[in-house]
Amino acid sequence: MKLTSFGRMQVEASSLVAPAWMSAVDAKAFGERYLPIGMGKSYGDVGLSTGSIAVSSLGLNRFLAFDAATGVLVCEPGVLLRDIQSAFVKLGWMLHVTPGTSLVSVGGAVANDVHGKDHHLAGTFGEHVLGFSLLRSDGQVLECSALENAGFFRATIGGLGLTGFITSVTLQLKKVAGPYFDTEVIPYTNLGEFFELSNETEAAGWQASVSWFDCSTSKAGRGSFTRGNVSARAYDAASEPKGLGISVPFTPPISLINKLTLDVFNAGYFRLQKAGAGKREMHYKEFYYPLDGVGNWNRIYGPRGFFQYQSVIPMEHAGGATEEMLSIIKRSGQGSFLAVLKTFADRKPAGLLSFARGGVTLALDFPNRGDKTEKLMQSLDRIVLETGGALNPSKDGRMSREMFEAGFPGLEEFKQYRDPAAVSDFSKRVID
Amino acid sequence: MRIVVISATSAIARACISKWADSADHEFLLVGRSAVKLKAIEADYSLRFPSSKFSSLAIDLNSVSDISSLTESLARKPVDLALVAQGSLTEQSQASSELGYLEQQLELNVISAGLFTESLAGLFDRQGFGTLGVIGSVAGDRGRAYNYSYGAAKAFLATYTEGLQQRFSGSKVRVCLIKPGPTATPMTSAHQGKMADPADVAAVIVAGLARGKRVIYAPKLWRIIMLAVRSIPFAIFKRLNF
Repeated sequence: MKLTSFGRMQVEASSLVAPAWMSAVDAKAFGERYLPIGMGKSYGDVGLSTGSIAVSSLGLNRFLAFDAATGVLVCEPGVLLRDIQSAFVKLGWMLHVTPGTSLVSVGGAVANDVHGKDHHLAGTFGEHVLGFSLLRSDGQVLECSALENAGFFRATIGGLGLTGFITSVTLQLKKVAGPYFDTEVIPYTNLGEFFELSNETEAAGWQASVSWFDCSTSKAGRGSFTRGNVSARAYDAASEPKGLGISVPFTPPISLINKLTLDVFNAGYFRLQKAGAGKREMHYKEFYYPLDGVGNWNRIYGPRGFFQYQSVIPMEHAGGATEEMLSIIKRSGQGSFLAVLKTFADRKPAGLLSFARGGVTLALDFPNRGDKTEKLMQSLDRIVLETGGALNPSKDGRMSREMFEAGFPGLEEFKQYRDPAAVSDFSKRVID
Repeated sequence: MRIVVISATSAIARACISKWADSADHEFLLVGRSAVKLKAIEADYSLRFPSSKFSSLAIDLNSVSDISSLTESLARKPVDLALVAQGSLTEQSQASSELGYLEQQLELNVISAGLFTESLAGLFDRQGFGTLGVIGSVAGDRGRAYNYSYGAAKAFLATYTEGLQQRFSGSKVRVCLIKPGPTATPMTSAHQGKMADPADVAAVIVAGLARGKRVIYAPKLWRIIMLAVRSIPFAIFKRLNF
C-alpha cells in the first residue's frame, strides 16, 4: 500500500485500515505499529510510516452535534475543514483558525496544531479544541480536555498522531456575520517595509494577515502584504463563488519551477498582486484558500517533488536572520516560488509540540534537486539553530534530531504520553 | 421532492443524498438496517443541509412484513423518488466454498432488492407517478469467473427493471437501472486514484434519475466499456482473465 505525502515523498505502508463507521473503529486492527492518517497534506514524513498500518480517519466524516447558541461542534475526525466552513458559515459560524488549505481533516488539524492568517488574534487550531476522544492501541479510550486527561490533551494537540487515534473532536466555532472579508493588498519593496506593515496591521487590530514575497534570484525582498477582517455582510447563497474546477492533470517529467521559470513566475505574480492592490471584498474561499481551486498543484514540481522549509525565528532576531536567509537563498541560485512570510504573536502554545510561537515565520518551497537542495537547507538550519528558532514538523522531511530537540523543548514531557505503537517515519528519524 | 432511500447508509446512497440535498431542499426518508448508523447520518445531513428534512427508519431489509408496512405508510403522502441501494460485494471464493454465505448474499442482493423494487413499483403504480432507481452493477452485464455470484444477482435486477419499464411504458412512472462501475469506498478513496469517487458517481446517478433514463452507467464511460465487453464472443471471452 503506497502512501504519498504532499511534497511527493512515497513509502510503503503495510496496509490501510479505514473504518467507515465509529462502531467499526477497533484498536485491535492497529497491529503492532500504526499511524493515524488523514488527507495526506503534510509535506514530508509526519504522515508516512513505512511498514506500519495506516489508519485513515477519512471514512469517519460526520458532524455529530452542533449547538447553535454557543457554536460548539462535535464531529468525527475525518470531517474536512472545507465542510465545516461551508455548512456553518450559513448559520453565522466559522472556524477560528484555518491553514491555507481547507482540504485537511479535523484530526490532522489537531495533530499538527495548524495555524493560519489569524495567529496574532486567535492562535492555533488547538486553542479552539475543547476536547476529544482518544483511542490508544491498548484499546483504552481517553476523554481529553483541559480539565480531564490534560496531559494527553496537550500532547495530542500538535502530537503528530503519535499519542493515539482521535475518534471525535469538540470544537469551538467563531461567530461571524457571513463568509466575506474586507481585505487590503499592499505591495512592498523590501523586508523593512514588511515588518512595518506587520506591526501596523497588528496594532490596528486587523484580524488576519499574510504576505507573499519574491524569493527568486534577482528581485528578492519585494512582496505583497494581504490583510483582512470579516465583513459585516451576511451569507447570500446567490453570490457563492463557483470553484475554479481546474487541476494539474498529470505530473510533468521535470519540475516546472526551475531556474528558467522562477524569475518569470515571481515577476508575473508580483505584477498580478500589484494590479490587485488596494481594498476589496473577498469570499473566505478566495481569502483563505486561493490554491484549493487548483487540484493537485503540487504536481508542478515534477516526479521528484519538493521540500517546504518553514522556520520560525524569535522576534528579536527576525529582521537580521530573514535577511541572511534570503541572501543565502539568492547565492544558492535556488529561489522559491511560493514564499510566505508572517509574524506570530507571543502566545502560550496549545500543545507540547506546537510549532507556532512568537516570532516571524518564513515558508519556502524548493524543488527537490537532491544534494544541492539539502545543502541549501542545512545552511538555513544553522541560522534557525543559532537564533533559537524551530522548523515546522508538518512541512519537514529531513530535519536532524538535533534540530528537532532544540526547537521543541516540550519533547521530554511529550514522550510520557506517546502511544508506544504509534510510529511515523518522522518519529523514527527524530524522536525514537 | 419527497425522496425515499433504501439502504441509505451505503456509500453510493450517501453520496446521492448529499448531491440531492446540495442542489435543492427535499424531504428524505432514510431506510436501513442499523438504527445507530441511520441516526449518525441523519444527524450529519441535518446539520449539513438545514433546509432539507431528514428522518430515518430502521427495518429488517429481508422481511416481507416490514417492507409491506413501509410501503403502506409511504402511501399516505406522495413519494417522488425512491432509490433501492442495497447490495453486498460478494466474495466469489467464499460464495463458492460456503453455501450459507452465498445464501445470505443472495437474500440481500436478490430477494431483498427484488422485494423493495416490486413493492415500491406498486406504490408508484397506485400513485400514478414517481421515479424508481435501482442500483445494479456493470458486473451484471456479463458473467465472469471473478464475480459471477454478485454479477448474476445484479443481472436479476436488470431483467426485473426491464420488465417494469415495459409495464410502465406510457405512464408517468419511471424505472431506472443504475450500473455503477468500481467505486471507491472510504477504504480506498483518498489513497488510490483508480476507482471512481462516490461523489462523481452520485452526480451521474442524480442527473440520470432526473431525466428518467432507463439505464444509467456511472461514470458514463462504463456504457462504452461494457458495450465492448458484451460484444466479445464467448469463445474469446472464456480465455480472458479480467
